[in-house]
Amino acid sequence: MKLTPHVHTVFAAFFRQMRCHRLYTAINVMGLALGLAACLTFGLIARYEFTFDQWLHGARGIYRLDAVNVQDGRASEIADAPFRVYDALKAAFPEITHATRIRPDNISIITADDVRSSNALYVDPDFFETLPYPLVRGDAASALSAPNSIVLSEERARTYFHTINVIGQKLTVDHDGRKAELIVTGVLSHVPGNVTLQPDMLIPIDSAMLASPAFLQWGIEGGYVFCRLHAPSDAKRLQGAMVRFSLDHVPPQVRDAGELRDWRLRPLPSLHFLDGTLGISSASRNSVIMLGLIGLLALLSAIINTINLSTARGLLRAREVAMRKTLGATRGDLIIQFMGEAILLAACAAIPALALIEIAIPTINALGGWDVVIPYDLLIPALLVLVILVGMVAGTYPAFWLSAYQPARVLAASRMATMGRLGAVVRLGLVVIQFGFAIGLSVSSVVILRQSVFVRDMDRGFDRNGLLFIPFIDNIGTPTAQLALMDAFRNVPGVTTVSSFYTMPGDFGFSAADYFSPLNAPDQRPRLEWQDVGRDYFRLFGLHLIAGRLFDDAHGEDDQQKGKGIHSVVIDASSARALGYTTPQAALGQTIRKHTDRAPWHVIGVVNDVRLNSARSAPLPSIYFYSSMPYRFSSAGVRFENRPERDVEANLRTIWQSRAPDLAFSALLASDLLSHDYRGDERRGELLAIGAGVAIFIALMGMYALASFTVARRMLEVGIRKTLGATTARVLGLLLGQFLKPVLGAGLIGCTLAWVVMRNWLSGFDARIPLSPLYFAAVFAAALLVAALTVLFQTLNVARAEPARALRAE
Amino acid sequence: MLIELSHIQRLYRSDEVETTALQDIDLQIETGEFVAIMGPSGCGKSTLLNILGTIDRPTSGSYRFGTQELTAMNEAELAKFRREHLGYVFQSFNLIDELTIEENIELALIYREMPKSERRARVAHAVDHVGIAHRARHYPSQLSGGQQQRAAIARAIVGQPSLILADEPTGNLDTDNGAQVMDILQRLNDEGATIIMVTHSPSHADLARRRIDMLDGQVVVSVRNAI
Repeated sequence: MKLTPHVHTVFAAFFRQMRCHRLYTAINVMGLALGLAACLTFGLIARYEFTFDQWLHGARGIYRLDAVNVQDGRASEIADAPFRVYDALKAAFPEITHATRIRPDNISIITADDVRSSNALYVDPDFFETLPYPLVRGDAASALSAPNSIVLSEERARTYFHTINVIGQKLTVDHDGRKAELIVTGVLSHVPGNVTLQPDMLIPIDSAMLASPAFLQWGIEGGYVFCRLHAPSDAKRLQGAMVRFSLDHVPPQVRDAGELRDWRLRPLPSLHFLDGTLGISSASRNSVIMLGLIGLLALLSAIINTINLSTARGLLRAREVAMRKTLGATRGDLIIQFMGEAILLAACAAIPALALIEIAIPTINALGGWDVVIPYDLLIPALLVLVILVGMVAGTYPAFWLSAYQPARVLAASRMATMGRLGAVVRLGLVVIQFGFAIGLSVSSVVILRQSVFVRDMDRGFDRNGLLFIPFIDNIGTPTAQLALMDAFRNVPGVTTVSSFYTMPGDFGFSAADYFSPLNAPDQRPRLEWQDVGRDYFRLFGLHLIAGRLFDDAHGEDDQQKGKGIHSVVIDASSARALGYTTPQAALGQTIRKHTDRAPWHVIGVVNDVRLNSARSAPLPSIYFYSSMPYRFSSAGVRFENRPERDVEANLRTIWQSRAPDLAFSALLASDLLSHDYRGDERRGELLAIGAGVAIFIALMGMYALASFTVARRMLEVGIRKTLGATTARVLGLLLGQFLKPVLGAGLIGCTLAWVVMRNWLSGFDARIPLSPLYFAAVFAAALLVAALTVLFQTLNVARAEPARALRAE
Repeated sequence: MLIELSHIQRLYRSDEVETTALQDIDLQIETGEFVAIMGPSGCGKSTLLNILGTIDRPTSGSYRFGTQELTAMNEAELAKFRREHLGYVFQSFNLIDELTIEENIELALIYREMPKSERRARVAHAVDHVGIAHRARHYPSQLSGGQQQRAAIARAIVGQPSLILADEPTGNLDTDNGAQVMDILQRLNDEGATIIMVTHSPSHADLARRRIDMLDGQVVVSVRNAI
């Protein structure tokens, strides 16, 4: 078999088909281009997510040490570790070649005309040996050896010095409560976006820090501990020895409190998704797999279009096939021809697909918070392989089926060839898959977006509007200085209330919890979130008093910092229930004890429940202690009204800068903090909606084209029916019904699958919407409507045909 | 008088060409007649039959069926007229491939919105009448040409129409099957059905009571056969 004549035949036949059947070609090319683009775009995102940190040299030999605490018999892993473990770890395990502590912090950069806040990582000199981030300037071996050195990212170097040639330059910072002049010793190369640690600047841990409790005590988590092993195989042995390590090194009182019972060595490339499950990032392996699947299914949907349209067109090409066979073509020749045409069709779709990817990636990056860069060296070969694969998959069934026509039967028949019942079932099944996928995806995106809106708007027990937070005011100085700062804030126009506290909404700030039990019921021992609050806290958040009274300076015993007697606490309704009190009133005047120090407290009031944490977890019952002077880690809250947030913030900034000129000011809106609770899901919902839109569009294009062929083929049948007395409306109903039948089946399948998946997804939320049948019904009805509108015009045309003309159709 | 055509004309127009398919046709057909229409290809036989069957509309002229003037009817009224009064038999059978033989036959009754039990009884009688009861549950592709045409006749008579129109009913059949189909049509006529048949076969035309010859869209001869 000579190939050249075949190539010529394939090209000639393909281009003539293209020219003569523009609608068919356009729909096929558009569908395949969309499918290829969706597949490759979502594929690039999946690649980005699954290759976090893998670009780092020797990434598989780098591990993070996570602490494992046990609370209520349940082990919980946390990404942080006490820095006290660092030396003990290196001494106990010679397999560790290098290790570094990493303490993320926010520091102030002082320039001639400004003070700016920046993220910094305090690290050990072994940082670059452990995590070999490349340097574009400076020497990794010595960059962090001097205590007053600093390594900047390229971006920061350009921000502060407008160049990356900054070795030896000085940078004034206010960090760790001290002002210092650091010398730039290195500049980090730009790193890809898919990296767990994205350092803006690296500062070596100095002797003052080493003397602080976070570095000396086992019970305080200081930050991350990373280590590099001789070989990844050592990790298993180390992991096996970790419980023993804990028993040997962690003080018994810490272990007895349930802390540091075990450790986990987590490989660097696994941290991205692990942090998602630990709740410290929004990464989700399932979401990424889902996106990858959407891409694949979009491509599958486009392939189904090509298969369906090729076979439908094949019915009209039966005589061509028969004539080719009569003229001597073998079945192999015809298979090559039809496969070749399918591959050429896919190749035609590759160019618009590339353009679509170019357009989609920046949009998707913005939507998903990614930094995906199109790797053309990888994308072009992938696209070529995909074109051949898609062409072969899309071409195989039509090629084998069309080439099997018996020429004598086709040429002798007065009627058009048919696919037979099996062919019709296959085609129907393919349409059901297409629409099932599109409907399932649409329902899922509706549910996810509805849940996001619900979380955004849910009643959290406090008024989030007009509420600003200034984190960690303790940086400004003594408690007296902090009180003076808050007093100054109270004088800002529009400000109505100011108070101090630990915990901000959205899991920001400092939080602590302990076990408490009523004096007369020691077996009742709930774990309560411990809130240390200043004056006017309840007014600041707008909490409602249910029973008793709130803290009052007139009652000296309310302030835990004054006197040694029994002090007062206010609890919320959940805490009252958890402590065993049948009504809020029953809790009043009761004495409760804290588990750790057995100190007694009097309950003076009960307020409504507040949800400061994520909607995914149950709201934590809270207990409020009053401190007239702010503690360490205190943040301030400011409620304002009748003034723009920008003006209030500017005034607060001015006050801050007048009192702490070397400290960067930051203010966070309550609504912004809470947005972290739903923004990730909102983005996922929007991405799903895009996927659903692509899937529906491809499916509708396929249905439109298929309808063109089907109505052409059924013209005779329409003629017969009308001859037998059927009216236009009846024929229209019949044809529409037959087109919509697969959509009905698809709706059933798609909705069932979406129901199972969404029920599972919603079960991950403590506060969630009910999985209403209305979502399913609305999407189902919309799918039916758009499908009906898609085929209505063509169906109406054939249904209105004069019977005599219809009978002459074949 | 069952049918009366007066000055029927049918023109086909395209952008450049106007073709006259029928020209000034006057024709009367009595109840119970068996009329054969003959003529060379393109003379307008099938167009005339289509107009008689109301599946095509004349460009001008009058078509009276009993007391009804059909040219004044709209599409829905014509559909109602067809399902109540007409039965069709085509050269290429025109059975719907996706339906079984009994479903094809039943189709004519479904449009009359007849109760299912009555439809079944009528279908059973019709297939029995044309001798294909044993093939009722088969699909058209599983039957021979003769059997398919008998199925088409069963579909035409199941509604007990006033008029049966047959467009070259033996055109796709061999001699034996053609003879069987003609036997059935004759029997139906003997039982009182009015039949108008287009045919190319002089021998089959001789079996009709009247023969009409057409040429260039006009009726040139109308003679009664001696039977």
